[in-house]
Amino acid sequence: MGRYVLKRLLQAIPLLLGIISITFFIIHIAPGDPMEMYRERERGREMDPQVIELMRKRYGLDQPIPVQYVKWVANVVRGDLGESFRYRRPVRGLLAEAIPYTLQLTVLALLFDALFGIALGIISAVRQYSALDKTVTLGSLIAYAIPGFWLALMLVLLFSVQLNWFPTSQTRSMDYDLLSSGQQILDRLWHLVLPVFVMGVASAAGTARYMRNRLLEVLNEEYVVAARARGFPEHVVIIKHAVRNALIPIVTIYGLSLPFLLGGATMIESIFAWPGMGRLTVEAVGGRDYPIIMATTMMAATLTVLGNLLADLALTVVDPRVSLEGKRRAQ
Amino acid sequence: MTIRVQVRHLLLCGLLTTVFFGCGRAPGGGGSASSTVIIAYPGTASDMSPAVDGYSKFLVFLPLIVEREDGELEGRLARSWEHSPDWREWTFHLRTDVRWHDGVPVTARDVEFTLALLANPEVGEFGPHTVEAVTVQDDSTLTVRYGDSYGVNGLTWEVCLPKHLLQGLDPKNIASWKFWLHPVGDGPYRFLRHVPKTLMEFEANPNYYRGKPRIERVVLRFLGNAGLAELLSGGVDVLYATSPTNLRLLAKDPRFRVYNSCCDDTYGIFWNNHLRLFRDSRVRRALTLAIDRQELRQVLDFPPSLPVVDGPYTHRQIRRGDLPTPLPHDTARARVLLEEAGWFDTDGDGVRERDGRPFRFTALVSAGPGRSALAVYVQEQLRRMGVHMEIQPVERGRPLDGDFDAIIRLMCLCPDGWRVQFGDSSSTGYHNARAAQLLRQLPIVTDPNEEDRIRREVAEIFQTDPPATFFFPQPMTMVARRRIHGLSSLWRADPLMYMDELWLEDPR
Repeated sequence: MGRYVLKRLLQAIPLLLGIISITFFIIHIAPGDPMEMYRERERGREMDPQVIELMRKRYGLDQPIPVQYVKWVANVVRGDLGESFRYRRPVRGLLAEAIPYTLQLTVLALLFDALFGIALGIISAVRQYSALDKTVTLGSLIAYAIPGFWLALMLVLLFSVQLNWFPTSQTRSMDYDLLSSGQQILDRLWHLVLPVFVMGVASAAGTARYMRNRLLEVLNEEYVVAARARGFPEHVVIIKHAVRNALIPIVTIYGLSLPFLLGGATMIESIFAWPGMGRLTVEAVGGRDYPIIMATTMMAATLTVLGNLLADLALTVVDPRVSLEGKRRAQ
Repeated sequence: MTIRVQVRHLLLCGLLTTVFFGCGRAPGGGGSASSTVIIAYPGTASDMSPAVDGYSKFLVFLPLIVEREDGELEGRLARSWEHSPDWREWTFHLRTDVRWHDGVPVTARDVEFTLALLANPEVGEFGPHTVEAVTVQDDSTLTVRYGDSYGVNGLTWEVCLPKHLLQGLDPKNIASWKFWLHPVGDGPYRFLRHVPKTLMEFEANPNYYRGKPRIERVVLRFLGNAGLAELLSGGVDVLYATSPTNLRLLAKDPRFRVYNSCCDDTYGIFWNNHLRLFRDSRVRRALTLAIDRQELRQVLDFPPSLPVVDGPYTHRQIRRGDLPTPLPHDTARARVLLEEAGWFDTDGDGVRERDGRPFRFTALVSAGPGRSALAVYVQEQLRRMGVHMEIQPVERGRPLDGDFDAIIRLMCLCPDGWRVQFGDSSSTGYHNARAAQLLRQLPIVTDPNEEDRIRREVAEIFQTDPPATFFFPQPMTMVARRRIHGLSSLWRADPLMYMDELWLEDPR
């Protein structure tokens, strides 16, 4: 397995280089000047053109694009992701501040997805064609079809603005520092309810549908019939035999969700003013903050590659019949 | 226990948890406590730094001089001042009763330090010639020699920083200085606390030289796009900038008032004068006369106090009502001018032609709120003149060079910007010798009266030979709860700049 992992990682290097190179050239070739974004200053005064030229030199924007590219790659290899045009701070520091906030959302959303999606899928399959099954099916379709940003706005409008049941935005209350430790934890969780729900519900809907279909296939397998014939209780047959096998492809899907952990919350973070990677990326794209755009793209590409690798590895663990070299082992 | 019972237990627990959280503390629908103003701040905590622009610094730091509503200068840190006849050399006499929040007196050395810091190329606030020399005579007197108009025009609202706390720090990393997250200022508010990524809180400075501000606490919440929802749910009292649609709704909400301030950014259609289509000044004048700019201002829901402009202007001129009377909306005259230039609709298709070529062009419209409405309005007005304008959206900040027919955009036209766009070697292909001569002087003239005279003369030249069709300055909008008093459009609209003069009164 070690050799396989090393081989995949080595294969990933040219792939990543290709992705970030294409991104670099696309954003630098696009018309418009990033310094234009920072030309307009407060109180309506415009920046001195000489200052703009100094900034252009500072960020290397006066160099030809191929020269900028080579310098950028050399810096990235050294671990230097550059300095944000807007914040005038190292990109590494900005990412380090933002990542924990995004992980809070996405990890909880994945857990929500896994728990509710799998549970609903099981219930739906076991109670096939019942009223519960039909409700879950319809609900899943609706939840899957609703755009996440629209759902977020509607929930904010209803539960925050109208009913005042949940906070509208941010990660904690203004009087957080005055709360006890226990209250602080609850306050944090309270702020997580709406964004996690929005992020998790569509994924859970998809997982539920997938789980239902897989479980229905598995429930017709001979070993399940045999388990029932041996007199095992129904819940043992379902959980220990059927669900375990039905979960195999779902494990693969979760492996592919790795990039989502750090990049999947863009719109939700903007709507809920969550200071994570997604919001940082959206602001960077709107403000032509090239260093942040490049850093987040590189991160997303790296996580996608790693996610694929993890999914393949996890599959071999969950299903011993699958070999990393693509050949099914003899049974 | 069967699965069914287990699932029922789980669902019940989930429901109880949701109810527990949902019925927990919730923000009030009517806004903050009576002595606190909460602002949905569009920037971040680092905005205190001069390297990253933001208005939050005016809570904590005092500027030397500010500009009043009538355009006159008013001292803050500076008690009085004199300037040389050419307005380049200014001698400031500072107040002696102002202290930093840690008790250290504010002196002329702090001002000297600040100007040197802002002129540092790593900071990038001033150009290399903005400040030529600073001489400190004593603790409360210093003389500054400015090199260009950026310096003199930038006098107002430039804050002073504490030398005793900041000297020795590396200007290259100015945006990363920890000081900005725990600022020590000399202004009306003292820093209280900073919650990373969430908020910054300030309390009224009891030792403020103008007296303790009436509003006890100010909280800046870093909300990004969530400001509107927080305003509606009572989480904030002030919101900066939202879409025109939201503004229309908020203006009708009895809980709020909408205020507008005036920027130097100017809306306009910038014609590519290199093209034969726009080379004739009669054509450009006709297109300007064809557009009802007063009505356009209403269409965009801009305040009626925002003036229609025909050329360069200063805020002083707007405040004093000293702008030239703008070209009127005169479709009859516009038609005559087009016909004098040889444009007739010979085939009756509604589009004028000349030498077999129809009067059609594409206007690039840069992204931004209200631009689409502006472009569509202009398109219709020109259509009635027999001019066909296509609309093509482009990204914000599209420069006025390269391949284009016309661009509808916002333009921040600083002294040098006017010169570059419409002076010698104009990037838009405009040629007017007298205008070019005047625009060469704008970046270096330091006498504000002379500057106003030059701008007025250029505007009058542009009325007969317009390089572009200008509309009006861009308004900056903010929405505040009615309980906040002391604000007014156009010149006292930003609460962060005037917080020490505001007060709260709950509406009866």
